[in-house]
Amino acid sequence: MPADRDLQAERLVLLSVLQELTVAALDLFDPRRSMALFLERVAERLGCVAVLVLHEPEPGALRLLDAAGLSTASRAAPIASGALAGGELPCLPYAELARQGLVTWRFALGGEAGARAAWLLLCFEGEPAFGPRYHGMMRRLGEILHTALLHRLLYARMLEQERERERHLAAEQAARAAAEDAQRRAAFLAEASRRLSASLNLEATLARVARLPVPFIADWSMVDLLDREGSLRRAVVVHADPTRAELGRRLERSAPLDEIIPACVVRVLRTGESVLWERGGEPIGPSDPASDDAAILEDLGLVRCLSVPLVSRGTTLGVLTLGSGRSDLCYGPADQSLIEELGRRAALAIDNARLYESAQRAIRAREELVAVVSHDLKSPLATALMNAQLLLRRLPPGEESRDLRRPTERIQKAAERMERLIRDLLDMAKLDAGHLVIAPAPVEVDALVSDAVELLREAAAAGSLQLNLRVAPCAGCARCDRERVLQVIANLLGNAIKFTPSGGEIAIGAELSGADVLFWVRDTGPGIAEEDQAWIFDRYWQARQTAHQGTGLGLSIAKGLVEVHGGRIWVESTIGAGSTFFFTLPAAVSATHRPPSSASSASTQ
Amino acid sequence: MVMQVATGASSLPGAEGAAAEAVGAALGEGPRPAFALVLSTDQYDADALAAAVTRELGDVPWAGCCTAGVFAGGELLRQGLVVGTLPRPAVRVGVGVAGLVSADGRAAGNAAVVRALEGLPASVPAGWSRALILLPDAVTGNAADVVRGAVQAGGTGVVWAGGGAGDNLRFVRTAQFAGGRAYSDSVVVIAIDSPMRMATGIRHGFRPYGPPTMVTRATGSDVAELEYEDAFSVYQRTAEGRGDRVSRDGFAKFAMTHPLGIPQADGEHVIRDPLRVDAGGSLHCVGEVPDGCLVRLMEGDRDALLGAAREAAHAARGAVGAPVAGAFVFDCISRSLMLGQGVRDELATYGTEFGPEVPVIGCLTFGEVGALGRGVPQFHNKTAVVLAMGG
Repeated sequence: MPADRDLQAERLVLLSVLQELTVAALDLFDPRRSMALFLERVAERLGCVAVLVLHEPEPGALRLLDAAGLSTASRAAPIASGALAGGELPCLPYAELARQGLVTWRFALGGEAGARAAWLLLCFEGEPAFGPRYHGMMRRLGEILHTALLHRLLYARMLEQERERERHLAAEQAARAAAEDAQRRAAFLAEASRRLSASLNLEATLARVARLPVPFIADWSMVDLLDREGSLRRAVVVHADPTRAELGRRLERSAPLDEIIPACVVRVLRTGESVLWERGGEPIGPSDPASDDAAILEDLGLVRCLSVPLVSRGTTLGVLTLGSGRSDLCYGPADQSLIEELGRRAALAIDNARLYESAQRAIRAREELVAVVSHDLKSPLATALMNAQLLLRRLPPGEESRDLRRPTERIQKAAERMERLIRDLLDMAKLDAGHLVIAPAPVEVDALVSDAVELLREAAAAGSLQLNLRVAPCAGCARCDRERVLQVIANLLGNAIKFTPSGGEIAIGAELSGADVLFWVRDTGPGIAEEDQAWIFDRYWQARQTAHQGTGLGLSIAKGLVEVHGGRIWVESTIGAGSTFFFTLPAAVSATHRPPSSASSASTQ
Repeated sequence: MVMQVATGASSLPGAEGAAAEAVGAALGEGPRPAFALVLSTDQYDADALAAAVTRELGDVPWAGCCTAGVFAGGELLRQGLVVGTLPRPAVRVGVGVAGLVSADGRAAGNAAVVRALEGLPASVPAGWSRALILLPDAVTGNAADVVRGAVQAGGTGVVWAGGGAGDNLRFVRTAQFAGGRAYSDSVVVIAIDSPMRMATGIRHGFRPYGPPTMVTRATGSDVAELEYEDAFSVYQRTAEGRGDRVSRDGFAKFAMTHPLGIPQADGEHVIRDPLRVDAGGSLHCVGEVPDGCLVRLMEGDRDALLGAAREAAHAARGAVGAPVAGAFVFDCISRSLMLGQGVRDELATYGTEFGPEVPVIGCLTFGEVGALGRGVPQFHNKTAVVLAMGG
């Protein structure tokens, strides 16, 4: 029966089209699939001139969601806004639909009237021949499409959230990487500062400046210093590859500015700004590119380099140049910032080293001057002192020489005072320069203190002062230069005698304190104001009340001598109750095992 | 304004001579035309031909492609060149070209239409008609996607026609011509605006037989499974139902006259031409077969094909609704292979339908472009597409 066969075939076609389009509609559950592909499939199978999906994101605002059969211009045409009167769609502004006999099948996507938010429109040129069955099929398909659109929306949101999470994660990772990078850079700069402050030697500092960035941020580096106007000294060149290091050192020499390669170094000096040079850009230098220096730079693997100025206290000292042949070292803004900061710290270190060298030269000059002057003063002074003493001895005793004795004694005292002053100045100069030499050896503490007391016993008696000696029985030995420690004790005792009123008491003692021997000198003098205690060990400082009673160098020298021994000195004092000066010296090891003896004690009036 | 289409043809073997002869005949003594459609066979060196045609046409814009055969009037040239000119100011023409079709056919089709329309009004002026002729490389890419991309840009409010460039089934390299140059792996789009009506007629003449069969696995132009069996076995069984025994070796010859048809809701079928059986029994077709669609085996004979060609011309003429000034025909190469010498009768049919005074040129294409029925344009096989221009 041919009619039956045709009917069967028609039904099969209907079912196959339904299946094909249903599968295509189900694909729309995935928001990454194009809706246009589905609409094209519908248009092709059903012979539509256009298939549209419209939606109403806001009341009265109809929008084209997607379409097949519409040109680019049509799809971009806006749909006039306005309420959908009675659910009727407004006139659509598409040229493809402006044809006679257009038949439109319209399917609401989304259920009840009033809640409709989208429509599927199938547009035919004339009434389609396939009648109501396909209309019914498309109605069912519309329901699937509606569900697909909802899922598509939800899935799209989920994907967007997933992407957002990934973006956050990526941002977090980037931030962490940036933080780690910043941390590495900060650590690098901290280490740079530490190393740069480790020495005040200029050449050592220059070598450190050049070595620091290799290989952290450079394959090689070099430091150029301005020597004098028109000349630059390439002080040091360092390469990460030991086999090329020697090659780099061939660049270390002075040269006029107009011969310097790479030329970016000179540009930095002229502009004060960092300059990046890359192979293939500007020429490497003003001179013959085939010069020896250019060839060496070529052999060093120079692909790009960054030169930064070395500026300290507003003065350009030179240029630090870092070079790289690595593709991952492009010297971007972050690298440039890091290298410029390194340049600033390096410049400060170089400046400090130069200042230190300059100060050292000044100290040596002063020391030489003091030595010469002292020597020149000491000889005539010794002559004056010796002759004054001779004169005193030859003067007849009694009243008859009284008029001559007094002036002669004053000459002798003045000469002695001047001798002490010169000795103090020499000691001070040596201490300042770090040139004071001591000969430490184990010294019995009680003998040392007794000898010192012996030296000043007469002076104490002259001032009607009681001088007590209180050395602990196990004070043992101190490791020190005996003569210099005697000088310290004599200074402290001398001061006590000088400032303690007649009838007062002065005590000196010593005891073992851990690994040190603690010495102290106590007096019953007027005491030292609390605000003055911090200054009394400074040179030339004297309290207002005691001004002009000494050179002002004694305590400063005492402090220097104690510190040279590795000890420390300090004072405790109360106004009206006297002062106690303490100082420590390292105990000699053998002293701690010495058998205890009875405390030595002595007093004199 | 009167539309006067002029044509010229040459079968000279050299590009220079053929271009001179065909262009010379088309230009004649008349005024310079607005545009020239140039269709060639594939024996010429494409670049040399492009240079020669450009030299002959001077400032006249032109476009076209190479195919397996060209014809002017009833004369089929297996080697030759045909030229059809459109007069000015009767028409305004824009040409666009884009690639790579093999990489992204949809994007190429879209871009070529956008470029073709760049110099034309955004919307077709009232009373005017716009035709878009699509000449894709159908060998390298998915031509169905090229057509979809083109429609996405041009919409269905215009007349669509065209055919795939071919190299006489050698499947090596096709040429598309635009802007005085030869391209490959590209698509050329010619946009024609005319105050006269333009219309297409599309027919193939094949009818279905055997049971409808579901495509259960397909990728692009490869049909791997029909109803969950390998496609060739199902094809073989269906043919056997009619008493035809089809072996793998004899498949290409049998399939030439028994293609697949994709049923449309209106009862029409979009033809897909299976070229060969691949590994696993997969059928490789000229053009995409959508996964999940239904296919039927089709058959056609000489009378049906000739009848279809006549119907196509008749439909185009009828849709123009006025005297026809000229026609461009895109006729599938496989129809000529089926018809053999009878293809001259098919070409003569167009002349008969339009009248001997109406210039007709065309080519034997590798796939055709147009709207079967009244819906969106698609890519077809074994089909005759007639674009008629009112005079």
